[in-house]
Amino acid sequence: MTEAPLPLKGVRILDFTWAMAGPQATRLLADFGAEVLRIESRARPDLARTSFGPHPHGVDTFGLDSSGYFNHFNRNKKSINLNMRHPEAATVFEDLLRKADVVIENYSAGVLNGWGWPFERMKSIKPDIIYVSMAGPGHRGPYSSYRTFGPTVQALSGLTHLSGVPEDEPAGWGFSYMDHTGGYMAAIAVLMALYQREQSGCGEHVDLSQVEAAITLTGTALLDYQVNGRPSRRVGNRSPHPAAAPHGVYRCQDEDGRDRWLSIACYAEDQWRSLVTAMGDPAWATGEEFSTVQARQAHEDELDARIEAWTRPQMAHELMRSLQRAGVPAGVVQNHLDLTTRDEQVKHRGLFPPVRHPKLGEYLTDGLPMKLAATPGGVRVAAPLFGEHTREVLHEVLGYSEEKIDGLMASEALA
Amino acid sequence: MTGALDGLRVIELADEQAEWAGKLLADMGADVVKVELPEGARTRSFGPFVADQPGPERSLHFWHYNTSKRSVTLNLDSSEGRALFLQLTAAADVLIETTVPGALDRLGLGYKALATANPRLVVASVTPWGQDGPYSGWASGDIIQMAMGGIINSCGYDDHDRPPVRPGQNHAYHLASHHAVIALLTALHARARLGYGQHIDVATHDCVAVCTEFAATYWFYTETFVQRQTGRHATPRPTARTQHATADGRWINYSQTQNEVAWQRFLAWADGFGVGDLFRQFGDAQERLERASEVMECARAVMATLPAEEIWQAGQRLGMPWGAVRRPEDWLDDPHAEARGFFQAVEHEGLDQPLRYPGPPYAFTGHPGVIRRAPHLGEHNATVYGALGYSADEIAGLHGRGAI
Repeated sequence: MTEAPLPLKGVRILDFTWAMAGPQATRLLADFGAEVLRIESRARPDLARTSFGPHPHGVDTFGLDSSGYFNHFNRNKKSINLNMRHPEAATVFEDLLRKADVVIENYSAGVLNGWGWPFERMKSIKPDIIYVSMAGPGHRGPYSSYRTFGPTVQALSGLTHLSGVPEDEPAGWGFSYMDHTGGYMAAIAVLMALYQREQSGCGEHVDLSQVEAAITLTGTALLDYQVNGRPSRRVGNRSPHPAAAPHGVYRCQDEDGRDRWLSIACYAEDQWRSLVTAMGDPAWATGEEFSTVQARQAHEDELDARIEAWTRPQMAHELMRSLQRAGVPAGVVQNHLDLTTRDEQVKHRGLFPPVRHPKLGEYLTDGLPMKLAATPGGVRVAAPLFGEHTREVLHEVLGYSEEKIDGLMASEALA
Repeated sequence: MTGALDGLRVIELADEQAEWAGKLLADMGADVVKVELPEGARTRSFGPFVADQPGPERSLHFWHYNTSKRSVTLNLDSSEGRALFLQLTAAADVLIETTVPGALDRLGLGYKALATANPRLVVASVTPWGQDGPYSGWASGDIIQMAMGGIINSCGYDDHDRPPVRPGQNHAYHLASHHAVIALLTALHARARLGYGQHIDVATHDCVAVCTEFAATYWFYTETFVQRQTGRHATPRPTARTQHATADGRWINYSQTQNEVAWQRFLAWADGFGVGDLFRQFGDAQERLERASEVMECARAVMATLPAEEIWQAGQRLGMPWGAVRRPEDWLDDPHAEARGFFQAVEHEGLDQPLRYPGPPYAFTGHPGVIRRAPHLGEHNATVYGALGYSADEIAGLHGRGAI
């Protein structure tokens, strides 16, 4: 059997990304076969190597190779050491640029300029280079010096404001959603820029602002504000639009009597009728106040209380299955034990493949959620050890002699 | 303005699950032809509406998710309609579709039939659970996906007697669309080298389930669960609050920094309010992390005396990574968004003012694209079917026979 081709084979990316948003972008590109060269220096090690957890064998056991989080977001990539502030780094970087298609970074604005590498200079070395920057506020504008993490981006953009119940403070997002999604959008930007380069031969700078990227996801609220003067608002687990009721997360239990939660949503009248049947046709459900979706929305507190009185003593997973058999949209609020052991669909699709790291050992990781029939890509190797590929890349890609590499090593340019 | 995807031809047969994917392509210059049933796409019935009056041309949801596309009507239950669909995809680079698994096959329009007519076609199928497997026939919805994929488990309040909460807007559909776009652009890149298109199977469930950050890493590496917390990351053990109320009844997100220069500037700023010494007791960055709850208690007291906008801007000028919990509409009059030209004004018939739409999520400096208003139902029947070679009379005939 011949191996399926990798769809992004031949694309070489110089990757200055760190923490998570940038690495999420290059992880996808690497999974599809792009050669992603992480450029790392001991002078400013990646927070994902040093800080973000967990470190399954302790924070320092394997030095900069201890982090599971880093392994999770950097598989399939290579790592080369290059200290961009070192005087001898410039010629090495120039040589890398000549062999590269894309430069990507998610530092605050000005970091590459500070190293002496504004886009114009990169372009003078490699005229069709594609440069994607991902600073929170972007590289232009009065806030361009501001610094953000995922939670800052979510707060500023409105995503936090829109999440939670209306009568209380925002619940926000319980993780850096915009580190994932900023990464997806940066991957899209790289691919769109490659498409354009194919047509015109031109590279360009893509000034991605993660805050702007997040605001685009709130567009319906922005239009409602402008057209109808309605301030954006939190709606808890409800769905004024599209009109659906019931639409919520209801308390059930597990085999040990602990709370579990089940989402149930009826978007169509036949789904509501199936739910009523599943509940045993209780008298309350046939009342006028629950006869249409508008009526149910007008009595949603009572509706939710009635439904939860019914769900509460039931087993969440069993109830999900019986409601789904009846055609009612229902899904358990799953945790990762559920996802990795109970979820038959995840198992069927092999979503969480194992990856063996030479120091940490073998662990599951997030696979690709999209299946390209002819060129599937996938998880091939673990994240690189710190500087693992310095020698290999300088020798094989740049054609440097071992003596030249030894000299650069001695000068600490490659550190 | 030219866009990065000028010249790309896309057919979209998609509902709310993947309209965002088509929009991302269309705003960057791709010609996205949205194929609607004669009565119109389902999302035309999604609120909010102009002046809260429903109608197929009044849905703000539809407007936002269908910018820059063209619209044709097409009846796939008619044999003439099916022949037209085959002609459309034969002349296209990409089809994005969200029909239930097997439905297009039953109409004779499955991937194999389409690829026979056009081997270079890339078909991205976006469905709740994937093309096959034990849940592939299950009912779905955005909240169902956000629950099943593990996101809702991380979101909500400190009080676990209250239910976890789905973050606002339809993010499962955003996630599926992002992965569809990444996949189809990747397939187009491969096509340039390999010469053929392919079928892509995007499962929304999987897209949500790989967007959980710490929930995944803590489970995979230590078999521990994260627990939801108000306004901050879910973590295995409770952590200090980072969301503080401000004097004007709003909220601010306070992230810690390990940057000593910024911290020293912050202390000087805090001195101006007579509270610098309150923070000096914490020593270095490591100690501030270890005593985060105490740092946050001090911060909370200071934040409560100032308005949110003033605090976050002042903090940022000191180098502190703070952010006000803004409303999306706060950006409409913001000088930073203005300077970047982020919002694009789009004219709509019947509205006094152009509407400002958020620009693409990535500012291309050479090929930025331009946003145009969403199409009216069937607005482009004449031009699209005309380009396939149908005369005005023939198009009228197709209409009369219920094919379009």
